[in-house]
Amino acid sequence: MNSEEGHRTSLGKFSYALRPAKNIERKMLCEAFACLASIAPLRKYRYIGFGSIEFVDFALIHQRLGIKDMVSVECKEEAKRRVEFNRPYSWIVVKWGTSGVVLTELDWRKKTIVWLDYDRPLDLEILEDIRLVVSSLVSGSMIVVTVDAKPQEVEGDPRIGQKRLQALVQNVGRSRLPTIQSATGQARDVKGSDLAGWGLAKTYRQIIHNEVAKTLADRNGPLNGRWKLSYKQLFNFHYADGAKMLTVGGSVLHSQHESKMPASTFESLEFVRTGSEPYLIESPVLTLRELRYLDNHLTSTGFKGDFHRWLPKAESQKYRKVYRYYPAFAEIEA
Amino acid sequence: MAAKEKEGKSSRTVDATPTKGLFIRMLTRDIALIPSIIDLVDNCADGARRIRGDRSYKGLWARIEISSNQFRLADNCGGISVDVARQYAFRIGRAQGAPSVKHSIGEFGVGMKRAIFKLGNYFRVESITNASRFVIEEDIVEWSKKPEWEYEFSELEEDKRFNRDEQGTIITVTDLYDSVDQQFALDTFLSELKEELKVKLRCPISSGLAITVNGLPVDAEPLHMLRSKDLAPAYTELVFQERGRKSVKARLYCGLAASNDPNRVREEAGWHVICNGRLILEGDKTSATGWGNDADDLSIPGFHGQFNSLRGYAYFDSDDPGRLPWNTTKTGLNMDSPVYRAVRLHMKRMMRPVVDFLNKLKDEKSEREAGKQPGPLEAFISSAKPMDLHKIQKRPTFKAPTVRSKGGEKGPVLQRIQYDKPKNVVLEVKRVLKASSYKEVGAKTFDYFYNAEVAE
Repeated sequence: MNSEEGHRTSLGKFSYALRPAKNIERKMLCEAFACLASIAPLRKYRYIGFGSIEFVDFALIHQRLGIKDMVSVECKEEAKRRVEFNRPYSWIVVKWGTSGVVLTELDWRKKTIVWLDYDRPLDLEILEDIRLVVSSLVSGSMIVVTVDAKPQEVEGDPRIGQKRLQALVQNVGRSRLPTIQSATGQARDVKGSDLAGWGLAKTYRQIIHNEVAKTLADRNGPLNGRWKLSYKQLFNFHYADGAKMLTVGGSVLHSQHESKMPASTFESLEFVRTGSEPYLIESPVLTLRELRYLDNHLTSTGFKGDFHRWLPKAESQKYRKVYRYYPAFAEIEA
Repeated sequence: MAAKEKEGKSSRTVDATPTKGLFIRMLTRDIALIPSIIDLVDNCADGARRIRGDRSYKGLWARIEISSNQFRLADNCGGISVDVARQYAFRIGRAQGAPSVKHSIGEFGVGMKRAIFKLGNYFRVESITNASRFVIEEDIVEWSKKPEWEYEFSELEEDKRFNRDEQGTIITVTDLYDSVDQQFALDTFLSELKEELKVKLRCPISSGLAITVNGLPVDAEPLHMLRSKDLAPAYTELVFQERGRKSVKARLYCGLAASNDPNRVREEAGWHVICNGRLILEGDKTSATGWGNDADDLSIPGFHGQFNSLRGYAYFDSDDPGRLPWNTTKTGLNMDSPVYRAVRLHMKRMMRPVVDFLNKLKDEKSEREAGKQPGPLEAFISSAKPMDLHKIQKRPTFKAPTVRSKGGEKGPVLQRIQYDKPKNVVLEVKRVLKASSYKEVGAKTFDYFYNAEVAE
C-alpha cells in the first residue's frame, strides 16, 4: 500500500474552476443531490469530498444545499498550511491521511453525500475506497466516483489493444474484468479493442458497479427484507476538459427511502443515467456575446432567431443541453 | 424378483439405502485425529453450558486418558439422559426436534460418533444424569454388518436418583486402529493435543472447566491487546436479527498484540474466529478474513512479517448454532454464511488502519540507523500495556499514535526504495553519473527518469 498514492488531487496541475465540463458536472450533481430532501432535510446531511486547495465543490454544495457538516480528505501533508488557508468556510474539517485510512475512521451514522473525485485511472486502492464507503453508508446516502478514463496512447503500436488490456489487469486484477454484452446480445470477456475511445470509461463503470453490487450483497445477506439496501445508479457522465473522465454514482437506499424517492423524482433531470448508456457533457465553444444572444433566443424547444447561418449548429445544440449549468467565465480579480 | 416382492418392493424400485461403511469411512476421512478428539471435549463444554449457563464452570472437569490401545474421556458435566440417548445422541446427524443447548458448540450431531469411528473398533459409552443411567457398548465391525441403524442399551436404569457427583459421561474406545495407536505412542502427540485444546477451548477453560490430559492440566491464558492513551484497539459489537430465528451477536476486536511467546508470534498473528466459545480459525492470514491475495486483491495486502503483531478476534455467539459460520469439522469457516460475509466487511474496515500503522512502523524501523534510539512509534508500542480483552472499551476504529513533526511545515512524505543490480553495471552507471556513492546513483537515476518522463 503506497500511502502517498492514496488519493492524488490535481493540486498544482490545473485550476479546477476553469474546467467547463467539470464545472457543469458539479452543478448537475448538486441539482440531483437536492432531491435527497424528500428523504431528510439537506442540512442534516454530511458532505465528504477531496477539497484539495480549491474546495470548489465544497463552496457550491454549501451554497446550494446548505450542508455545513463537511469533511475534506487530503493526503498532501506538505501543503497543510496552504490547504488550511484556502478553506472557504471554517466548518470544513480537513482530515489528513490517505483516503483508505481516513474513510475508515469517520463516523458513518449520518446520511452522507460522498464524492470520491480522483484524477487517476481506476485502481485497487480506489476500489477499496469504494468498498469501504459502500460498506459504511446508511440509507439515504449518495456515492459518486470520478476517475481518469483516458485510454493508453496509441504510439503506432499494432498491439495497443493487448497493452491496454494488460494495463487494466494490472490496475484492477484479472478477477474484476467484467463481461460485456456484444452487439448480438451475447456475453463475452472484455477485449483490448473494447478499451479504445470511451470504451475504457464504459469498462470502468461496469467494474465500479460490480464492486458496489458485491459489497451491498455481502452487507445485505443477513438483513431482513425491508432493511436491505439497494444501489440506484443516477450518474454516468463522460466528459473531457482535456483527458477523458468518467463520473459514476447513485443513491443507496432501503425500501422505505426508496418509496420516498422513486425513479420519477429524477425524470426532469435529463442528465440522469441509470444504465450503461452515458451522458456526455460537451461544453460548447462560444463567446460571451454569443452566449448572451443564445440565452435571449431560447424557446422551450430550441432557439429562435437567424444565427444558424453563422453559428455552427453543433455548438448551439451543445449549449441548449447545458445552458442552465454553463459557467460564464470572465477575467476578474476576486 | 420374488424375494424383492416379498419385501414390498416392486421390480421398478432401485435400492438406494446408504451403507454404514460409507458413513464410517466418509465421516472419518474429513477430520484429523486431534480435531475429532476435541469434538468430543466440545460435548463436555456444551454439558457445562447446559448446567451452568453463563455462570462459572468451577468444579466441572473433563479428563482425557490416552494409553496404548485405549482412549477414555470422562466428565462430570451433567450426562446424557436415557431419552436423549434413545432418540438423538446416537443418531448420525442432528434430528428434527433435538433439544438444543443455548450457545452450544454441538450443532451437526456427528461429533461423538465421528470421533468414535475415527479412534477404534470397540466403544463403551456410560452416562449418568440425575434420573437415569445407561451403558451402550458395541463392536463396530459387527454392528456395520447388521442392517438396522440401532444400538442396544447393555445396562439401563431409569427413574432412579443419582447424586450430583456421579453425573457425567465416560466414553471409552478400545481396539484402536493401528494408525491411531501409533500416533498415541508418539511423545509429541500429547503435547500437541494439549496445545490444541488450550487454543480451541480457551473460552470454556477460562470459564473454569478443568481439562486434563493424562492428569496434566490444560490451562488457557487470557487474551490481551495493547492499549495506552495513544493506542487502542477497535472493538465493535453487531447483532444480526432475522425474522423467526435466533439472533447472532458478533464481537470484533482488532489492534496490536502484547509481545508474547516469540515462537508463536507467527501463528497467532492475524484473525481468530471463535464461534460459541470454540476457536474455529487461529491466526488467519488469508482472504477468508480479509487479507489480500498476492495477485489480485484490494489494498489490504497479503500477510507479511511486519504484520506479526496484528491481532483480530471475531466472536460469534448464537442460541442457534446453525447460524454460526463454521463448517462441520469446526476447523474452518463456512464462507457462504451471510452473517459472516457481512461481518467480513467490518473486519476489513477495522484492520485497515492497523495495517497502515504497521507499515509506518516498518518504515520507521528500516530508516533507523544501527545503534540509534528506537523511533517514536516503537516507543509508543513499548510504553503501551497489555489489557484483558473483556476490559476493552468500544471504539469503532483502531487508535494509532500520531507522531507530530518537529515544528513548522512538514516536508513531503518520503519513501525509501531499495533494489539490487549487477555490480559491474552499477559501477558503470556510477562512473557516467560521476556519483560518489551508491545512494547518489539511486537518487540521480530516479531524478533522471522523473524529469524526463513524469514531471510536467
